Amino acid sequence: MKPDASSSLEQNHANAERWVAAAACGALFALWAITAFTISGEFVGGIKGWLRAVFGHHWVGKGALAGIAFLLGSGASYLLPFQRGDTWWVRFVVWHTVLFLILLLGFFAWMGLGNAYH
Amino acid sequence: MDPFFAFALALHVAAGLAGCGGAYAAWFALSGSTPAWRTLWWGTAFALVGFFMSYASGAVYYLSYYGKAVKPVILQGRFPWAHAFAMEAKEHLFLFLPFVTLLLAVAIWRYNKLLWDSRNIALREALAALAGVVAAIAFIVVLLGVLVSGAVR
Repeated sequence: MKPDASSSLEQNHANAERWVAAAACGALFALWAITAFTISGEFVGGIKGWLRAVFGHHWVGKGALAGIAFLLGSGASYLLPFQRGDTWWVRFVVWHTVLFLILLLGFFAWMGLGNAYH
Repeated sequence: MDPFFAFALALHVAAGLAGCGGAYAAWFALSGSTPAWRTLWWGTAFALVGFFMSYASGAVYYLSYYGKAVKPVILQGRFPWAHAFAMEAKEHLFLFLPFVTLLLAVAIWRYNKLLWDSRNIALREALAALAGVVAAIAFIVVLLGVLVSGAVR
C-alpha cells in the first residue's frame, strides 16, 4: 500500500529528529573531549607530549580527537538507554557550550595571567 | 613575513569573520517568527565553511610561523598575557565552533521547512540559542585575536 502524504511527513520528521539527536550527542562528546584534554593537558604530565608526538601539535591533536569524539558520540546516541527528543539534546549542548566557555576562559585567565606575571 | 604565511593569516581572519557573520545571520533568521530561508541557509553555510577554513589556514600559520616568529616577540614584550591568556583561550575556544556549527547545519539540513511547523517552535528556539552562542563565541575569539595582533605591534 502506498503511504499517504501525512505518514511520509511523519517519517521525515522522525528521521530528522534522529539525525539532530545524533549530531547533538556527537557535539557534546566533542565539547567534552576538547575541554577535558585542554585542562588535563596542563596538569597531567605526558598528555601534551603525546598529542604533540602523534599529531604534530597539541592543538591539532585536540581538534582531531574532538572529530573522533563527534563520530563516536553520534553513533553512541543510538545505544543510549534513555530516549530524549532532539530539542532536549540541542538545549543540553547549548548549556554545555556556555558552561565550557566560562570554564576555559576562567582557566586560561588563571593559568595565563599567573604564568605571565609570576 | 613570507607571502604564503601572509595569505594563510589573511584567509584565517577573513574566513573566521565570515563564519562569525554567518552565525549571526543564522541566529537572526531563527529568531524571527516568519521563515527567512535564504538568510538561514547562507548564514549557516558561511559559518560552517568559514570555521573549517579558518581552522585549516590558522593551523598552517600557527604551526609554521606564529610559534617561531611571533610568540617569542609577544612573550618578551610588554604584554606577555596576550599569548599566555588571549591566544591560549582563543585557540581552544575556537575548537568548539566547527562541531557546534555542524549540529546547527545538520538540524537545518534535515528539518528544512519543517522548522517553521507549529510543533517545532521549541526546537527552533533551541537552535536560535545555539546559533546565538556560536556567534558570541566567534565574536569573543575575534576580540582575543585583536588583542594578540595588538600585542605584536
